[in-house]
Amino acid sequence: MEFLIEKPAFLKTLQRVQGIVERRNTMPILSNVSLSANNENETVDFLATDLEVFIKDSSKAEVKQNGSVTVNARKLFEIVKELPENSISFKADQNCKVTVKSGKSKFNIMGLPTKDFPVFPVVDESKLEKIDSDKLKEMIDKTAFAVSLDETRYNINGFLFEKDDLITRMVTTDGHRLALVEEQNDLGIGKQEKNSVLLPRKGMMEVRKLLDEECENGFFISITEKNASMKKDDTVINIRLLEGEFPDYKKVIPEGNDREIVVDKNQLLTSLKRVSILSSDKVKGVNFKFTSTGLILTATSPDIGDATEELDIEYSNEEIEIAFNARYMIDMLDAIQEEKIKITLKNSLSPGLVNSESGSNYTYIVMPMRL
Amino acid sequence: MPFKDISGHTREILALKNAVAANRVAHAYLFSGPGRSGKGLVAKTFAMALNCTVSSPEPCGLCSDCVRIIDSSHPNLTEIGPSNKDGAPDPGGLIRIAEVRRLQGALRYRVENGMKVVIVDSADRLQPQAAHAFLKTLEEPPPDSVLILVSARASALLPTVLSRCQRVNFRPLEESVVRDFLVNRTGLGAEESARVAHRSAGSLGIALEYVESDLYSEQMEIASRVEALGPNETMQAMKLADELSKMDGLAGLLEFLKLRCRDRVASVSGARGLAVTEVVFGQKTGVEELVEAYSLIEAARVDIASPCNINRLLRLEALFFSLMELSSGCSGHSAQAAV
Repeated sequence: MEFLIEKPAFLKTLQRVQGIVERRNTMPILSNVSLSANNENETVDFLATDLEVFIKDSSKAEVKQNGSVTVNARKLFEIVKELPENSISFKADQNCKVTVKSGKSKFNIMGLPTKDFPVFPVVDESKLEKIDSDKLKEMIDKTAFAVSLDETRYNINGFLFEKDDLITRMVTTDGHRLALVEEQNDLGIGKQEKNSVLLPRKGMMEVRKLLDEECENGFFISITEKNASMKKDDTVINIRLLEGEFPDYKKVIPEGNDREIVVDKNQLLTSLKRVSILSSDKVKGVNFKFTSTGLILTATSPDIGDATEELDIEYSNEEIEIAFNARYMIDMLDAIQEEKIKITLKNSLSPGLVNSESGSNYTYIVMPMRL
Repeated sequence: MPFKDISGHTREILALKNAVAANRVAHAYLFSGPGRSGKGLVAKTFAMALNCTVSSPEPCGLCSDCVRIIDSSHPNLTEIGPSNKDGAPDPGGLIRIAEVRRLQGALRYRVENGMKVVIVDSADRLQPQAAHAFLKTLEEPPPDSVLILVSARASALLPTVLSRCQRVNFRPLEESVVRDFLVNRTGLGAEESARVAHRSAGSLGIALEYVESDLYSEQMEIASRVEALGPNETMQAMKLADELSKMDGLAGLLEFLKLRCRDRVASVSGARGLAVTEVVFGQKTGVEELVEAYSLIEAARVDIASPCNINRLLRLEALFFSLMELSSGCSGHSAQAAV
């Protein structure tokens, strides 16, 4: 195969696909990206996978000879990034020896034949539905930080994506906190077959990256019992779904939290960041004391010292003291846009509930600590 | 390769095919039987049978699912096996906890078609910690999963692992099967094939190695030297130990020595058609001593292999001294006195 391609286009596509490439080298070919040139429509198709997330992309190029080859994605990316000239010539021979030329530099790399490369799963185009990418982006941002990173608890290693007639819902948890965001059903996901699936973290992070980029024709998504696919212009991401039962989040949402506190988000965020510097290293425990005159945050580290800060809040009930992991609060406060948040509590040992003050589409539950 | 092209193991294959046909596939299997006799191949073909979209229970071997399983590039197939500390495959290595975690990671995805299959090669090389981490998955794997443990030394597996698997015992291949395979595949003459088949102890892998190299005569030569060690030949024993400790195929040789012991026991008991030996000598030795020698050699093999990695030279010297003691028949001051 042989083609001529512009550096920016080549680099952009490579960057997008190489994020998915397998880092552990259990199957050598998975560290490669597959390129196939097609002179009919003058495009080069890129394909990369770690067998969990598949990504397909294509780029315009001047194709001189059809063919396909796979080469190490990271090395090719590094090479292309540093090439001196704008025009790049890419050539692969029968033995999968790849030559990349630009200006006076020339690189020879050994590739592998595409026949050993995994096949991209079939995406049923008819199931793809256009969706509001800004809303999806917001939903991911508001929940992504609470996904569990504990690989042994695979049923909470991802996003629960649920949809009924009226509402599209995304839930994540790591056992200490739970984030839930709901949108009225105008996201555009209507025809999906199953209404509750588990989407793995890695795949969703790739989707999130894609959502940041400009797109001409909108963003399409399809979720079936077997996999989830996202399509944006020429880029298609296919994600395998997670197996397992997500915990029943409805049971976790506390009831009877009658002490309502309204607090300015930015104030709380910056104060917490300051105060938590002096919380003990392992768990960033910070004490919250809500009184009718204000909120007093305190953090103590036996070896270093302590910190206190007072904030204005809207609260009229009797005094209550509770401790939270500051990390969990900061993650959440960083992710939301609202100016004011509403914290509802029951007592110092029951979970706290955080909502946005205006609407109720966001719910965050965080377990208290004993300090 | 479809089931029908696999040499031998008809009984075991039939059981597996029936399980697929009746849709009663167990969640975990243990394929045990002599090394290099085709258990891994059967396991892979079984994975094909569970995933082939064209025909069932006999996989076609030609559709894209089958081909990708053969290439080990199918998303539904996860294979793990012993590796060294750097993670590179190494038959003498161990299966570490990281590998078990990797397969658990692979199992948490939902299948598109067919069933997820995990093949754990040389499962007896599971580190105890890794085996413990594996137990929960082994007992109750996620839906649509089949775990296949393959081992030539099932007795070395933890009882907790054994009790969680359905066991499929592979017998040594019949001599005629090995002979026919050699005649068809290597073009070796019928007579020579029969001789090699006879020596191979029912293992195609060993038979092929014997065809390709002089391994058999080398092993025979060393075996006769080991067996000829007299009670007071300490120097010879040490020299031999020194020579063998530098040898590449030491594990294979120790296996061979074990088989020799087994043959000799069989021949003392009046059996014919022995596994590795046509001519048996040294019948003076009694059955009990031979059994003891077998255990001593096995103990040395385990000590030398990873994770013990005991100094080969010292361990071989110790082994030879014990063997000499055994053959001298006395309770053995001679060897120690000589040292």
